[in-house]
Amino acid sequence: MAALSSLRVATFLSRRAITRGNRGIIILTVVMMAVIYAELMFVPSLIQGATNEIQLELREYVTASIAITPSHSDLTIPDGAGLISRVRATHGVVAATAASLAGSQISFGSHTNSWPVLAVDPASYARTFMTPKTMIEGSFLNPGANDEIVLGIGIAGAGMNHVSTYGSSLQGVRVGDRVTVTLSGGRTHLFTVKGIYETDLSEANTSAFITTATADRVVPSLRGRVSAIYVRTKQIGDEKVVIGRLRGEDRHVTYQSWETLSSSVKDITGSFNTIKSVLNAVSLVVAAIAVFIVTYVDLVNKRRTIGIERAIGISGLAITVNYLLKAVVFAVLGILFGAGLFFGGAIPLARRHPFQFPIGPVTLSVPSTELRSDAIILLAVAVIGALVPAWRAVRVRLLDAVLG
Amino acid sequence: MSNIERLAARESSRRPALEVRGLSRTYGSGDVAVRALRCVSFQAEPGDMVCIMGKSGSGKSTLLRQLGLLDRPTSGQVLLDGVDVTRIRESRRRLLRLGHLGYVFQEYALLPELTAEENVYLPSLMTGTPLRQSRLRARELLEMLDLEDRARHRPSELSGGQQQRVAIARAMVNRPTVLFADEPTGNLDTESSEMVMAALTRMNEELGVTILFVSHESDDRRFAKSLIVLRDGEIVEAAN
Repeated sequence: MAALSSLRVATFLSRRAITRGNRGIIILTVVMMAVIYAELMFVPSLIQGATNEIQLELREYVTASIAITPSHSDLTIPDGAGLISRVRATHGVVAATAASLAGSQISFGSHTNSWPVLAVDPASYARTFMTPKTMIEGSFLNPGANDEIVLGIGIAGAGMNHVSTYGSSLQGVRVGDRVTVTLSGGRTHLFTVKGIYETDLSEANTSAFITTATADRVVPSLRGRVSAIYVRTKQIGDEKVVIGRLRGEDRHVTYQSWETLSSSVKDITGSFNTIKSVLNAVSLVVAAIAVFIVTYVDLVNKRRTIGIERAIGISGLAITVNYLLKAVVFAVLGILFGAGLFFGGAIPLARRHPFQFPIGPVTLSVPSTELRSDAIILLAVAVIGALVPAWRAVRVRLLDAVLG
Repeated sequence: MSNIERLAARESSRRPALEVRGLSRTYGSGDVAVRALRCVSFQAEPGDMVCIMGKSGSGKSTLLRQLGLLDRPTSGQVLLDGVDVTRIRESRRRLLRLGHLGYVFQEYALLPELTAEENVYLPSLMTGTPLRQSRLRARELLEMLDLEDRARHRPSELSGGQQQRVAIARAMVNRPTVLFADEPTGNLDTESSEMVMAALTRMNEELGVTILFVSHESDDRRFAKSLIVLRDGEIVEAAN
């Protein structure tokens, strides 16, 4: 009964304080909460945006949605041509392309290094991957391209010494130059560079492409042999469903979604998550201190009021809960306002003017779990920030409180 | 009613509303100790109106704070309706302040975010009384003190005299047996002081509450039924 009365009085006092209190202080508190919440969301969103960008690039340039590779120790997919036809006919598949490893070493002048040379069908490759759209010199292969090769900037170098792998590249190769490729089986063949591409993902810039027709001609033993089939699905997220449909097609192959294959970037995203955790912890400490200071200053100013309330018989519980309720209301308003600022301001702005990262343009992406957990954390911080000084204020000697 | 109950009731009505026995209050210790009250003893009968007078620093406010359970004496006893309340726990003291005692401060001490009416009924809400009933009681008191048209005004919109009368209404809302007023006219002009003292007198006469008020204006003794004069923490004069 006494506790109920205390809660009733606390609600009564907090309602009046919120609706009739000093507008300036209330607005300042809510704005502060909003800024803290937006700041709490900003770093995880940026990191999530960067992670999304890496995964997108991986999907668009390296793994596609699904990669089908030979099982166990097989080097090629048996009846690759038959399998790709069946894959293309599968519901949910937009495009599929086959790739065969045709060579492993490229030389230009005194420079030689090992890179995969893939034989692809230019048309289906362009439907499955975005690499053909990233040409910085020349153009991508066309079906009639004979003895022509397309190189990633990580192989060609193209005189661009800002490229991170420039030192290990062929360094000065430009469109029209001829490079020597050591093909499967050990034979070498001269190819004319038809184009040089550069994606934002450095891992994707170290492949070379020739047409399947050329490969069949210069390495007859490769004819009909497929090293991997790459599949583009209709929607991101339906890879597992499509894999389920494909699985019955061939038991001698392995189906892997881009998520499974993204382990190569797990180190990068893992580092991002560590940075995120550290920054989040710092933000939370700052938030807790800020909330604590605002509540503390408010309570110091209200010390005499609290003394009067206690003198007329208002319980310590009622006084404490009053401040807790106010803190919760301000925190909720701050969270809503902060979310409004973030979704209405920061996200559209970042979409219009993305952050330029080495991996490419990065926008803000808010994971809903982060949104929820940050809101809960801020609420908890507000409650603790109000509870400690309020609890202390009601424990001050009554006469000291009354005399202010 | 049995004979025993009748005897107990008669005994209770004979009992002083407030009794003070050897009350002392010392602030600090050692060389810097200040003895604000020195073995003060007196009693106030139910329905009494006691004026506590004395010069500044004589211990008037200190005495009232001990009686109003805002502070704890160094030694001695305060008995409310025969019960020693000096050493009881703070939670019980709060309940006594809420239900049995009223306190009027010199500086009005109203809560600035509440209207006059809300200020008055807040302690009533704390007792668990329904809002409607609390509001009705507040209205009655404000009407009694000629403040019915100021019920919805906030303290900042009221004059000093009006604020002090609202404070009196607040102190009376839970029908206390004893009301303490610490220099209730200390911050007021003559006209407002008259109105505040008239309000206290009305509470005493119409509602029968025992009132102890502190004043340094010798003129205020005319409102009292009893007088206590303090000097250097000691009672130097006590009269009816």
